[in-house]
Parts: sequence; C-alpha cells; structure tokens
Amino acid sequence: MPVLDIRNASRWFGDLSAVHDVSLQIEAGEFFTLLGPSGCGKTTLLRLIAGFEPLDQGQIFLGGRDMSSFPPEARPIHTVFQSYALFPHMSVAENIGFPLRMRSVSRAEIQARVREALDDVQLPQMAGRYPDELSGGQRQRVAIARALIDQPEILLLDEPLAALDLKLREQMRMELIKLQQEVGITFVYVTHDQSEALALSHRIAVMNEGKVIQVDVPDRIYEFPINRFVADFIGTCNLIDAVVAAVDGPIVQLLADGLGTVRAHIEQAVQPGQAGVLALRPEKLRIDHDHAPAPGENCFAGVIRHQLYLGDVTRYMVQLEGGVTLEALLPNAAAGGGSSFEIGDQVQLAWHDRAGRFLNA
Amino acid sequence: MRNRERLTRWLIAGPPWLYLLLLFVAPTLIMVAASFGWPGVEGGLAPLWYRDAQGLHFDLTLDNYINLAATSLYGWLFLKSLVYAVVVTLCCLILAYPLALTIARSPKRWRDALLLLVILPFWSNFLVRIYAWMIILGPQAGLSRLVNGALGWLHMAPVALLFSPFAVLIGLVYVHLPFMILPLYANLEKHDPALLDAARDLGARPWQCFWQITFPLSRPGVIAGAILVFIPALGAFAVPDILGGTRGIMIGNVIKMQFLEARDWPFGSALSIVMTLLVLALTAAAAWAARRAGGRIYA
Repeated sequence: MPVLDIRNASRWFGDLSAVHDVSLQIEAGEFFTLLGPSGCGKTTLLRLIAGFEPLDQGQIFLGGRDMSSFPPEARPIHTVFQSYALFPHMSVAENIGFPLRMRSVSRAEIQARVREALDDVQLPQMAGRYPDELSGGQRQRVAIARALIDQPEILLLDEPLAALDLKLREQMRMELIKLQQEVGITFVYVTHDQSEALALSHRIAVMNEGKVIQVDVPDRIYEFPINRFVADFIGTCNLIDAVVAAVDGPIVQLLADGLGTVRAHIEQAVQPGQAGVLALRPEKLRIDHDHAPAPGENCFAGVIRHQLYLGDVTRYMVQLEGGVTLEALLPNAAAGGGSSFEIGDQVQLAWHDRAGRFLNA
Repeated sequence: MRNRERLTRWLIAGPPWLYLLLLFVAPTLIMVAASFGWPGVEGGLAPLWYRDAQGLHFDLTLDNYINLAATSLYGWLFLKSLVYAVVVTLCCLILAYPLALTIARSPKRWRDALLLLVILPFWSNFLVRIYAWMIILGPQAGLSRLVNGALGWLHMAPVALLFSPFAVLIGLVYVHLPFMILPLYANLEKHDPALLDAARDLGARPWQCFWQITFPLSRPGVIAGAILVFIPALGAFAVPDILGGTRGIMIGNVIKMQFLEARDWPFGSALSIVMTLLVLALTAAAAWAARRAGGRIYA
C-alpha cells in the first residue's frame, strides 16, 4: 500500500487550474520527485500535500487516512522550504528543537535530541548561532535537521538546492541521497532542474500545466520520454517532425522533415500515416570522417557547422544533406587533447535504429 | 578632487547637524540654564548674570529643584502621569496590534487604502477632535445616559464620564493610537509569510504561531510604537486640560501653567528637565531590560 495516495487532486486559482486531476501513489521510503518548468503546478501540489492549500477536488490519503480535515500542524509531514524559512529570532538549537517544543517534549529530551541532530548534520558548534550567521549550505542543513527531528512520515523538499552555488549543490545532492537512505523517510522533492531529478530520485513525475505527464524511474524518463514535452524538457534532444511510413514490430520507418527516410523505435503502437516527432539524444549519434553504413543503422552525410568545446565533451552541430541540423555530443577521447573534428569537416552521422524514438507530438 | 569630496560631505552632513544643534541642543541648554535661574520681577526669567565694577557675576540658585523635591504634590503628579502614560501605551498596543496585523495581512491592493483610513483623522484639527470627545462623553450624550441607566438599574450611584481620569485616558489613547499602528504595521508588513507556513508545518497551532513567531519578530515595532506613544502621553497637557477637569490634571498641565499662568519660567524649566531625565532613564532601563531578556531584536 502506498504511504501517500493522491487521488484526482485538483486546485484552481480563479480560472487557472494550478493542479488538474493529479493521481500519484508514492511508496514508503521512496525518493519521489515532482519535476516541471516553473508554473507547472508542482509547488501547488506540494502545498496541497502539506495542507497549506485546500483541495478543490479529490483526496489525499496518508497511510490510509484521508488528510482533508487535517490542518498542516496535524499532518505528520514536514517541509524544507526553498528559502529554508529558518526563524531569524531563534538560535540554531532553538530552530531545530521547535517541532519538539510544539509537541511539549520535555526540556531535557529536546536538548539531547537537538544535540544529536546537530551531530548528524555536522554542525555541533553552531548550536548558539543565529540563522543570519550561517552560510547557505549550513542553513540548508539546519532546515533539514529541523524538519527531520520529530521523524515525520514524509519530508517535502521545495527546490532546496536552488539557492546554493553549483559546487555546493552537487555536494548537497550526494548528502541528500545518503541522508534519505539513512533516515528511510519518504522524500517528495520538487525541482525544475532535470539533472537534479535524474540524479536523486527513485521515481520522477514530470508535470506540465497542472497535469502529470509521465511517472517513471529516471532512466526510463530519459530514454523513453512519453511525448515531445518530456523529451524536450529532460536533457537535450534533437526533435524532428516525422510521419510513419511503415511499421515493423518495435521499429518504424519514418519520413522525417529535412532528413528523409529513417528508422526509429516505438513504445506504443502506431499506425502508418500517423504524424509525430523523432527524438534523438545527442550522445547517441556518432560522427565519422567516412563510414560504411552497417545494418540496423541510420547514416547521413553532413557538414560540421558549429562546435562547442566543453572540456570533457564537445557539442557539434552537423547540417545534413536533407537540410536538417542535428546536435551530436562526443567525448574528447583523443589522448592528445582537443576536439576530434573541425568546423567545415565533411562527415558521416550515424545512429542505431533503436536510438531514435518516435513520439506523439 | 579631495576638497570637492570634503565639501560634498559637509553639504550633506551639515544641515542635519545644524538643525540638531539649533533646534535641539541649544534649547535644551537654555532650558538647563533657566532651571537654575530666578523668576523675573514681572515673571519670565531674571538675567542669569550681571556685570558691575567687580566684573561678571552669575546669579544662580538651586531653589527650583529644592522646591520641587520638597513638595510631594509634584512627585505624585509625576507618578500619576507615569501611570497614565503606561496605561495609555498598553491600551494603544492592545488596540493597535490586531488592526496593524489585519492591515498587514490583507490583500496588497487594499493595504494603502486601509492605512489611509488610519491617517485620515490627522486631517482634521486636533482640538476639534478632542472637543468632539467632550460632546461624546458629555452628560447629555447617549453614552453617559446608557452607562448611568445601567448603573441605576444596578442601584449604583451615577458617574460623570467627562472631566474624569477616564475621559483623559480615552482622549490620550484616541490621539496616540495611530503612532502605535504605523510602526507596528511597518514591521508586520515585512514578515516573511513562509515563516508562518514553516511554523504550522512543524506543528504549531495558530496561537502558537503568533506567540512564537509573529510577536517576537514584531518586537522592534512594539518598542518603536511604545516610545512614540509613551513619551508624548507622559507630557500631554491639552487632552487633560479639555477632558480632565480638575481631577484629570497631569504633570504637563503643571509645566504649562508655570510658563503661561504663573509665569515662573525657572520652575517650569526645572520640571521639564526632571521629566526629560525621567524619560531618558526609563528608555535606558527598557533597553537594558530588553537586552537582558536575551534573544535578539530582529529588525
């Protein structure tokens, strides 16, 4: 039985449907991510779970209990806010002890548990400091320690890494994964950063315009996006309008704009004549100076138009003879360094039939 | 270049210093000097020094302060005014807080209009508003009849609302209320709503949210409002003059009388100096207490 069961949840703000008929089942101990562009309704959904917003329709069950009549303070759910919302007039120790004080836990026990929590987040010397005397990373740890101290059933995290700089963000990702494994509490994580979602989550729900578009494990979301929006939002993707010419089991023959005849993989059944989009991840493409097409491969001649040297990899923009320009991502594997191709090089661009996906638009 | 910089700095910093000196330091010094002088033959202030063949002579006395200390009436009036000012400040705080909170939490587009309503009474003359209270509290007005009707029904003696300490307190609270509302609102409006979300999320019931988060964070506003109400209320004379009758007199009335009716400027100055020192001492004590109470004043 899922610990959190959201059934047909909807929330309107005036005419705007912020969350529209969302149903999600989240398992105990899961690291579940709500991913979507800003304004997609992910934060509203989080606020519905926390109880800050009333449901206009649907129900939310926590451990089998309908939460609709429970105010936020009565739900065993805590939130780590994007701004951390640490109480500025309380010291770190008072902040962390706050949930226990609200539950009238004895002073001695609060003291002991706060000390333990401070040790857990490696801030034992910071007990007497005030939030404005902490660095961004320290504030975030205090916010997490405060939200975990009375062991909620679910921890909601609203873009908790957004305010940190890149290096710290990557370090905190690791810490979050470790922390979630240690405490075993269900995490529901909201972010617009797709790489963060892929790195952290057990499962991801991709949202857009108040609706859940796709729910799956990270590699399925990345490799098998369900439609054009997901393919475009997660990572980079070459998207080419195409029409189905013939179907051969899991492989379809497509007529793609500016490309010509090309084979691609399908997940859902399609009909010849159906219009959609061919999705090609840049790292699935291979570039060679001359290449004999192998069976089960698509191969097109083109010219390198631009390149972006990124150190470990280089992004090449290759214009094919059909007119379309595709992006390819190649590791800079040459021992001597530098990128392997130059602008203006005549090349062959090849990829496996199963690397391309035909998606509904 | 350096000279021009220095000139600019003086042009910016100069005027405030100048008016502080002219309108604050100089009058205070004059007042201190006057409090050690003699009243003039025709009232006012006798010259503080004179010059004769032997040179310059100062003609100063401690009589004013001795007189003040020896007459218990003044001590009682100081104490009474202090009690009035404390009560007025507390009443203003209790009345202003919910109002300021309501305005601060109302939709943004309403706030300015609501705030305007708070300031609106300032647009009519202060005396007119106090005379209006004279009519409201007068013996023929509905309020007095209602109260005395109820008292009569309970077999109690009728009371006069006007010309009583009660009327003075009402008048003072009414006059000073906006000075409490405005700093409170300015503070409450800045509070991050995420803090209240966080508090509820972490298990605080609504009243706990208020006492744990909102009120402690509003302390600078409370202190600013209390100072803005307490100090003028302590020295008030117009409201007790109009609404207080003989029983409602405050130290401010005595000071005013020394200057206008008794024309004993030195004694009026001495009373003023004592009151100024009293306010300074109380403010310092309050600041010290606030610091000792621990925690930080978060602005």
